[in-house]
Amino acid sequence: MSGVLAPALAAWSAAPWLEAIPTPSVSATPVTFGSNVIGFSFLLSVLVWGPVLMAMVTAVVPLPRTGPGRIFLGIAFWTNAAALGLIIIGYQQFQAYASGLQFEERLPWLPSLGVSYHLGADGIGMSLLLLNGLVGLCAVIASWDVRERARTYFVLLLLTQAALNGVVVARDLFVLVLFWAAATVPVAVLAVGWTSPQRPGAGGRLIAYWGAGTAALLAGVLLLYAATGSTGFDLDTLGQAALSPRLQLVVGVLFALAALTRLPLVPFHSWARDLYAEAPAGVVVLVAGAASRLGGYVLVRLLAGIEHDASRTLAPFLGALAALTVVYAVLAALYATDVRRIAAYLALLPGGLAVLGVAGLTPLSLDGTVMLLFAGGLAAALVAGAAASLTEHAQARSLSLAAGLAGRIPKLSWLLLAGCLAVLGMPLLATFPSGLMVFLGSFRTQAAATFVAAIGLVLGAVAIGRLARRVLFGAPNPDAPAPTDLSLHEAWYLGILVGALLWVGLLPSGPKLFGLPVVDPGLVNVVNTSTADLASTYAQTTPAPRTTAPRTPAPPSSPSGSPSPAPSGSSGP
Amino acid sequence: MRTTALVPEVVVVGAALALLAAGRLLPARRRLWIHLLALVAAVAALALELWLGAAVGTLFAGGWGQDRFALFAKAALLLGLIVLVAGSLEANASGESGEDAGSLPLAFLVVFGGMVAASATSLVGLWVGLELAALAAVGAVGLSSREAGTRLLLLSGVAAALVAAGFAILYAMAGSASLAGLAAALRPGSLSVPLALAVLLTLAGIVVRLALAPVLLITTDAGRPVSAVGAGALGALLLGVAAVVIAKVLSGLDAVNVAWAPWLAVLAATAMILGGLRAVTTRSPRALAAWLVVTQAGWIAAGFATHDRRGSAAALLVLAALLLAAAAAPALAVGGEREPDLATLRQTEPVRAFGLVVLLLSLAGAPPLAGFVGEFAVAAELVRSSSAWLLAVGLLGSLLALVAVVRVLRLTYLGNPVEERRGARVRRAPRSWSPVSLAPAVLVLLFVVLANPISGLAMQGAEALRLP
Amino acid sequence: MAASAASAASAARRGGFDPAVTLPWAVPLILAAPFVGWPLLVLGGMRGRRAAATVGTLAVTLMLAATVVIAWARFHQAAPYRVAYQWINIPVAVSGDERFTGFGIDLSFRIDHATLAGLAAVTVVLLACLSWHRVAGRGEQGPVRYHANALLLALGAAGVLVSGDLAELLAFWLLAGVGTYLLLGHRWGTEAAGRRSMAALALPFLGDVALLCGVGVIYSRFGALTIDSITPVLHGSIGVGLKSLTAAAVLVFGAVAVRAAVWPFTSWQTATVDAPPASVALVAGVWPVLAGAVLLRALPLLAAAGPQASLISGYTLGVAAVVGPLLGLLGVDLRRSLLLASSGAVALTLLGMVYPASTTVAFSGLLAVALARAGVLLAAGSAVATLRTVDLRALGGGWERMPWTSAAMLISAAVLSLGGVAAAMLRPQGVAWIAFAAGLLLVCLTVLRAYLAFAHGPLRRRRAFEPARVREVAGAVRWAALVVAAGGVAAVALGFVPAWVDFLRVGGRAVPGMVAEVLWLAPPLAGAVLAAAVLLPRRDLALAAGATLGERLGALWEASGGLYDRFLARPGRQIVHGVEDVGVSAAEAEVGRALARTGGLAGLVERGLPLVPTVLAVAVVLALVFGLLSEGLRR
Repeated sequence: MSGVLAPALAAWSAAPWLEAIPTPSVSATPVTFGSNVIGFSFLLSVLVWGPVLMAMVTAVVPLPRTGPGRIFLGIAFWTNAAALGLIIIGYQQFQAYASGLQFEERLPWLPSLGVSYHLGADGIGMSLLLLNGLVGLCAVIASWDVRERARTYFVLLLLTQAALNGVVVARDLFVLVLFWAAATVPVAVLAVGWTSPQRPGAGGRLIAYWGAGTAALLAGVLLLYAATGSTGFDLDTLGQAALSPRLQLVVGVLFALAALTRLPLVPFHSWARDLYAEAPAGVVVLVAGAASRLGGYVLVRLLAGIEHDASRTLAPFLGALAALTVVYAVLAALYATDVRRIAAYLALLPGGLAVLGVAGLTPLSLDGTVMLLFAGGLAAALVAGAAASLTEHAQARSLSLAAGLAGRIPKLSWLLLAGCLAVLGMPLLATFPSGLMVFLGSFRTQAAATFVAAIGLVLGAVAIGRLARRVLFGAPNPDAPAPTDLSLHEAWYLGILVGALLWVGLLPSGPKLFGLPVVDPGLVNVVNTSTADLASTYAQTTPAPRTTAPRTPAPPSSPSGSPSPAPSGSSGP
Repeated sequence: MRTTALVPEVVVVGAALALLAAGRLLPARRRLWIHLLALVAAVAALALELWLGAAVGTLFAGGWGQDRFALFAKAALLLGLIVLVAGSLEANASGESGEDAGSLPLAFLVVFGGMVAASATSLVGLWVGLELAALAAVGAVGLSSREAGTRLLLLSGVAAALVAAGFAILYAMAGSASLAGLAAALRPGSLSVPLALAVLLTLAGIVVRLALAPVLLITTDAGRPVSAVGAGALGALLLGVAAVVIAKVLSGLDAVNVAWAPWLAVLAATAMILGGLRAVTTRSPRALAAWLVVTQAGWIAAGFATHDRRGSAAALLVLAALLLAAAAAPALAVGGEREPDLATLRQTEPVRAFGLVVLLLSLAGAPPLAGFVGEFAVAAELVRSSSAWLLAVGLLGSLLALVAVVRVLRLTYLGNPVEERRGARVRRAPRSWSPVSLAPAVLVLLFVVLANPISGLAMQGAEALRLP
Repeated sequence: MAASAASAASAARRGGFDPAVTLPWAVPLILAAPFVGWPLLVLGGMRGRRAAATVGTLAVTLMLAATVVIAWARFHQAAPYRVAYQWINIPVAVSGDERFTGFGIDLSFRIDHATLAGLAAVTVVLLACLSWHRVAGRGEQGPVRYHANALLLALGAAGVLVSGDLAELLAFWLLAGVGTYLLLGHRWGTEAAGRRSMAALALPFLGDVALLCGVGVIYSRFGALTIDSITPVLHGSIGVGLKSLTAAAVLVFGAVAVRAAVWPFTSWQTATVDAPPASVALVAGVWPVLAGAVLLRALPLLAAAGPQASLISGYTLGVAAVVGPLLGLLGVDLRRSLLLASSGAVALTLLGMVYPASTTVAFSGLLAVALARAGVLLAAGSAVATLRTVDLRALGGGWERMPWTSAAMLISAAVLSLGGVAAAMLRPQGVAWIAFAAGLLLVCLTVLRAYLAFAHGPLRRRRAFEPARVREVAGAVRWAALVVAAGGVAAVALGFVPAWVDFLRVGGRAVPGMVAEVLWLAPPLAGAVLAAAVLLPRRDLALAAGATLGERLGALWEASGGLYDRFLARPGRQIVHGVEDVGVSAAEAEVGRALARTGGLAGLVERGLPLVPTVLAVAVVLALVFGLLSEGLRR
């Protein structure tokens, strides 16, 4: 009889929970979140599955008989606040000068396929996790006024956030594809269900483009899997694959397709145009700020990170596409007459510049790309969200009606202007250092594309000038309804976005007290922990004699902020 | 091995007879008890199968064999039966579809046919099992709609004739009716035109059986859909049986099966594309479920088309996921056959509506549900066996399916009930058994968590097919 | 170290306190003052006009004080004072060309004497404009906003002047651009404001992006951003071609030319003359100094680059020096003609800076021109506000009724006319002397034309305007103009003082010998005489002619606008329309239709076509096609 039971037992013994002992991380994991609380790191799983759990709770929680039904909003808000808190704690615990994975979790899942539940955060993941946290909270606050079908709305919002976090922390490509695809359905339903009924196109377009991108990503991942002998989907093993150039190119093109439909780049942008211009502010903020940035993440992580030859081959095309996107988006913004649509086009700029950085394929440009994914996400969310709120308060969205608002609703006007300047990469805002890194890094390898993109920025200034001329500074339209300035929750979510942009823009290396980092290890340092390894393949190797003193890398606790030694001020006659 | 291994089959047949008797004897208001009995019987059969069926061996001088494949196939079919009964419990307890009580025993008979086929070691056994299942399914349709029943009887007669003729030719050529003898007689490269035609005839017949499933799912009689349990669900189970038979036939013809690898591949491609396209354009949730089933049947065929162990294991994984989702979907869709009804369903029975949506998502292969895991496994094998074109077709089909299901999602959760549009108020129906109708959805979610043991069993099953 | 010891010793000798000890806080204070004042104004919840003005003035005064203290401390040290704070410093790669393995941007201060002079000029202009606005801008909207924007400009300007890191310089340059944009877009809610804001953002940003590209090219070749580390290796850096150096030089020069608003880049200032006068004067006075400072930093690059770079810069500035004031003669808008005339003066001094011999003197002249520009525009602002017209033909009687303002305008005009003389006296090479001669003449002519039209001649009665009521403006207002004008005079005069030229000591050290080169005073004098000869007897005729020509020019400009619409705007609109409304949508619709059509075909299965026979037929056909042709059979 025991023999009879054997196979069933064998089957059950393979169940995940029975072997849920985390395998020790191969990489240096100096601090694992909660390591002194529970036996293994659990931060990332909490961030991924927490929102799912709360979404289920939201789906079943009974509606209170009395009072307004704000309970769904409350659940979503506190979930996001807690998630952001956890992310910030993890961000602070993150070892900014130790390369490799941190907060790693690894459980076997489908051994027959070589699939394992493998999560981990490196610098890139941590920065995007922070972005997800910030944008997620802002999206919930921006959804303060969502009254119709609130339960469904917040369930979908939470599910989307879970999927976004999952993509960022997944180290197993099966898991990555799983979450990448899982984000599609809720976002599509949000787009279909809450956009203005006059313009129904957004949802269908979104699911078509995202679905095509998902299919491309899946195909690429499977090709990679087959090429590596079908051993497993772990990023670390797939990253070691030595593919034939042709296969690399195919896989690279597939990854690029997945990324460009999600980011999006022209000509895959019609879904973004519609969604950013029609969806409610919360959805716009979430998609423009976080969901679309995953395209750039895949580009950096999978294309530039794994397919080196393919990246080199595709770089010119990506550069051309990025330049085209920048120029075309501002051109379209230049001729649009709908404020939200103009903002939607402007929100495409950071994505284009990020792809330019990937096309640059220099360590600096890749570093800048990841920074720009963070900063550009915030900027895109800010400009699109501010436009949404502004048109709502002005009760008009055409340039002719929503005119001369700066004098009447100054706060919203300043925020919209800040968003526009952030998209343009103005100093004091996080987009400046990141954009500068992209430009400086790309000028050597993609001079033409970079120059065209710069021209595109000039056109962008023209477009923004046109927007500001009519909407902010110009003469108000006497026929337009009286506008009201922003409400408290809008002040909060737009303020958080601007604040994050300012913080990183002013202190990209984090604040230092007596040369020691306090509060914030510095986003640029965190990002650089993994991009330096990832991008060293592309380091320029021009045999040049040392003509300038090379800048020595800062040691972990270099007293930055102290005056540099030697000649400063002490070279007299 | 001991004859105790036959206990699950005995339980299934006994349950069928008992249900038949109870349907005649018990008054209509006691129908709930019949369903509970059926549920208990099905669960018991599954438990016994997992317990006793684990012993490998043969009975009746090798006429009946139990191996890992049989274990997996029977377990999957019994799981389908369980979700079918659980899903239809609420609808039937409320007496929404009267014939279901009568068709429950037929569902058990379909599963019994599947079990026979799964354990069959000879062509005869396969044929008997398949026909038993098919007849039971067709009979279930006949219960609710005589006209549709007769039409289907005709079709299934054609199919039976095809399969029988094919089997006969095979026997004539191989000189042995047992699958093992067949495999031994057919040397690699000994493929001749008659043999090819015979096999293709057989496969075509079985495909007709496969194709019966969607027909059953969407067959309507004068605008009235055939009862959920009676037809739709039986269709799903019948599809499972047919898939089992295909797997066994192919394993028997392994030595020469390279001939119809493309045949299966193209069949799979056709099914995936056809299903996806129709899923997009169809307007009835029940028809949508049917076409999604066609898409996933295509994935199963694609898995078998790889003709190796891993591919077949992946196909079995899809089969299990398909049975879980498809057997219960029509039952849960009762009351939501037309698109406008979906919003009403959400209002009146939110739990059932949620269960339905989850099952449809799984059928469409949306992550992170059972269907996705199965399709991903097949996709991986397709790439490994370098049939990327099939993968591309499958991805397109799944994309279309996803689009279709998002539409249903929208209608269910974002649409306004017809009554509300008319100004009337929709009240939630007080149902005591609604949690039970959530069981299929829960199982579909559990499938992902337990993907590891399940895929392990599927792998063992594929090994038992003695594929390379 | 040695230097500080030496200065300490000298201080000990003097027995007083050593100003060098103040450097650690005085240097950062230059940026800290506006950087703190700005959020104080924006977020401080300040409402009152006086409070805002006080905060703004205090911040700028602190900047000026810090500048003075630093000047005192560094008076005897010729080498620039350097101090740097890491802003970004990361090892971006672990291998490869070591120039590119690390990346860093410093908040670095590089303060030499020229920087101090520039800082002094900028802060004086700022103070003058703020105090002018405090009184004369009483009626302006948004006082807090105005002062916040002014402080933003101050922050950017100071940053540009002191920065020793190209990226930092770019950042502050852009900041100053934002401040300028907001200042010129003041007076919200009017169509004019909207137009101004557009003009003040679009064209100048072209220059900013040119600077960005220039910096990008430099970094991509040298892998460094700090000016002091690039300058020594400009020549003979392996892997750095002459072409890239030339490109970088031309790009940086383009930025200088655009932001200095020399012709043909004057439009972003001439199109915004109706902004608050203090804003116009501030922008017109500050930007030439910043442009000059950047040009000063870029001179080694220009020298190292190919001949094309210096040719382009020389010819551009030469043409600008002639055409700018010439255009100023056309039209009768006081402020516009003054702006165009002074743009010629700016171009002349920048041209002088390009030649090594006259770099220092020309820089001193540039500071003078910048100060005088602010002065003349402030005076013009007072005049326009009092006489309630910008039309030269309607102006007049300045000497009788507004003597101080007229004096300020006269002094500023003189400074503008003489600003380029000192540079010209150092024998410009090649054909540049033509540009100098013509430019000096035209600048003087144009600016004096405006002055004479305002100060002399009758002030006629107009509707709702009684000349007898016209009074001189308030003390603070007139003194503001006078002080900057006086500063300009001082700067011009200092240009001839060897000690001052030695003190600045940037590039060339030559000092013009007055006697030998006195001839170069001829062009301005000729211009003055010409102006007097034409304006004093035949004022109305001359001004009418100017007006007519101006209208012609306006018509021409309109026509060019039509060309722009025909060849740029419309094609662009067509492209966007073609892609958005036709291209992409059509493609998507086509795909959708194709799917629907195929789906419809499949739908036949449900309708007429019976499913099972269809599948059966498909199966058999596929069987025959694939099964029989498969390799299994061929074997």
